[in-house]
Amino acid sequence: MKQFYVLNRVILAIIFTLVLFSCQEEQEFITITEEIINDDSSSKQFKVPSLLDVQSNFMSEASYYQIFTNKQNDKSNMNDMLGFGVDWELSFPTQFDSEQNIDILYTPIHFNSSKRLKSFIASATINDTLVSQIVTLAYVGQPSLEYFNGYIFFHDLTGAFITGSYYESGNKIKTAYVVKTKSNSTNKNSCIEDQWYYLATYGIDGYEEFFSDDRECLGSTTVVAEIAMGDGDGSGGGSGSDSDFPTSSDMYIPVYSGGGGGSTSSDNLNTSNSGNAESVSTLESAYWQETIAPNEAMITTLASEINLNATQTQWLQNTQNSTELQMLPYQIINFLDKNLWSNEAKNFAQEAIGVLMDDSLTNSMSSLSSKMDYEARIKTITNRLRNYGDLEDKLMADYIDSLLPEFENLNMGEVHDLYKLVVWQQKNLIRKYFQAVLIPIAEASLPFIELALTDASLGLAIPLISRLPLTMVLRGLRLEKTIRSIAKLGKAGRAGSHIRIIPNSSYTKAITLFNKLTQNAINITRKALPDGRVIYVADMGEGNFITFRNFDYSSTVGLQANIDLKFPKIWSKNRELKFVE
Amino acid sequence: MKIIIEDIQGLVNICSCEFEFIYHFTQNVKEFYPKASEQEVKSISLIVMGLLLEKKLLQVYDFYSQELLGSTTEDSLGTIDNLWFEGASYIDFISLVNFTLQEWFVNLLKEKGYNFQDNWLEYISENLWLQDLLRISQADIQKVEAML
Repeated sequence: MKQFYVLNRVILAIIFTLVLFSCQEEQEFITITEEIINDDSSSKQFKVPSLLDVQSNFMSEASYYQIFTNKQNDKSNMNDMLGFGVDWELSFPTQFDSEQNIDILYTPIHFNSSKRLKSFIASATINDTLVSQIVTLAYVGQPSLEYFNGYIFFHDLTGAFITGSYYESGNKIKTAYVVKTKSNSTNKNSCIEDQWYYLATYGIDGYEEFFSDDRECLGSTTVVAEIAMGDGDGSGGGSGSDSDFPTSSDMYIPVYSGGGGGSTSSDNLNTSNSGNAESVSTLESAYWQETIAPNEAMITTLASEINLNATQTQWLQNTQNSTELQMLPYQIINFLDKNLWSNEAKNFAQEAIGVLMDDSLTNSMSSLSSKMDYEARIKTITNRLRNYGDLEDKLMADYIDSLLPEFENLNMGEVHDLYKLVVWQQKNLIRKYFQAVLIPIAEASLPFIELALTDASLGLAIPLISRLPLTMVLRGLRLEKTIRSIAKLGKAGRAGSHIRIIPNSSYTKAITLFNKLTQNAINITRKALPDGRVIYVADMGEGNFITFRNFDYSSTVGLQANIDLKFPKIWSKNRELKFVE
Repeated sequence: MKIIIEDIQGLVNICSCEFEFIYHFTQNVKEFYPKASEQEVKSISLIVMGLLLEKKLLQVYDFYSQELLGSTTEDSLGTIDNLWFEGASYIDFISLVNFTLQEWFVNLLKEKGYNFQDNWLEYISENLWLQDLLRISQADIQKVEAML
């Protein structure tokens, strides 16, 4: 099973790093830990130190300095493979804890070969004493673009462990920290390595179990604190043994795009304490992609496992050059994991890669010779969506199939345009499927609605809109999802983004959309005024209204019709769709 | 509720673009004064309408007959005040009165090169002549308040 290959590699990388961190003198560990325990963070004065001071301090702390300068000291041969270093030139002061207004000097540490590790040196002058700590993010489990899964460790410059926390889907699950030390205990490096091994292999639970009181390894006891819902502190009633840089509130970790000569950006990893559980989540950026990108060997193995041919394998390797697709190999592995690497799942993965690598969905996509050919291709796609997709994908497939009988009324250009859209949307859905993201029909159908309202002839537009599934417009959450999607159509009007201008449209398209959106209305009041003005008001329940009118007093050029969306639970201001010629 | 001239200026600016029905005024007033009561929203909305009517940027019509409402700002505001019953909401507002831009203002905007598509508030910030045209004073507000 290839997932074991990947997992082993990840674990090895984590173990290696943790072992590196553990090379320290015991006395230093004890001294610094006690200092932290005795600190009262509320009385601390934090200042950002100079880079020179931090470098000097770093060099004087022999353990870490040796790690980075004398690789022969390390027992493992893996350091050559991993490759790492401190990127001093990329240091910069940044906010670390917004709640306590703490700024630090951030210095990234790069790992050339393992993108599932990310470290930086956090340095601050605390009450006139320069303190530097190593903060390490070790990514485990399913890669996620949205949430952090893995460990965040704090070590001092000697490599002494200060605290470690485990996160799942952005939520802090458990934390471990040193609560007492014994200056007279015996210490062996192998013991330290054991600790790291268990921590990395069995998680913090296993770590606690193995290093119970009778072992007294390192002369310290590490307490595992489960983060209870509502326990925003996250310390589990700890004894103040958290790091010098508090992690219980907003912890701001700048992105490192590193690897020598990399640059920093304003993107960040934010640990926030909103809601019940302490959480870590990311902003919408390429942060995770850079950090946990798959490597060539892993992709080669995956390609072999799912029987990709040479061209397909090369395409999969090339995904690493694309920000958009970089996560795909991991996503496929997770998909296969979930489906127990069944032959059916592998076949789908192979087929899906064939679809995704098909570059023919461009404007120059060659036309097929007959409507029957288009129909056959589309049926292949909708069958695929039905076979492998979720309920929403099945709705989408049914919707697309319901358009096929209209082909006889459409010209070849229109059929071709629709086919292009179906192929394009299929790719989106497959990619989302690998990401285990469910795309509601309300969202998936939006490109079809957009095509209908702007580019399509009435012959295509009317079926495209009127055959949207009824489930999309059922009052309540379904309708709200649809309304949210619809309100993204077009471009912002002059009063702001709540006004949407939909170009190349018509009265008929607008009224068709209104009729579809209000198919499940409680009632519709229709007023036709003698001067030709028409206004329809649909009561959609719970104070929601959808209004259609064929007039406008705002001097909108070329207005054909107006649909107002009043959904006070979603927006304080009405959304207005203005259909213009 | 204390109203601040800067807020009223902001409302005049946005409502000179977003003005078709009464609810366009009320939803903007609620954005500036989220804790305002229904009566306070009405009062502030009437002030903003009055300021725009007094500057002759807007005119107001009966929705059904499309006849101009009032020959003066005071008349117009009085009529709107009477039609605007307590508890009136979106569904009522769309068939009470409607506002339009005065033709001279539309023509002036065209002459100045406005395309009726660009963001209105940005356009104001980039055009001093328009800022001058829309600028209100405390005296302007007091004058309209006296009409109510």
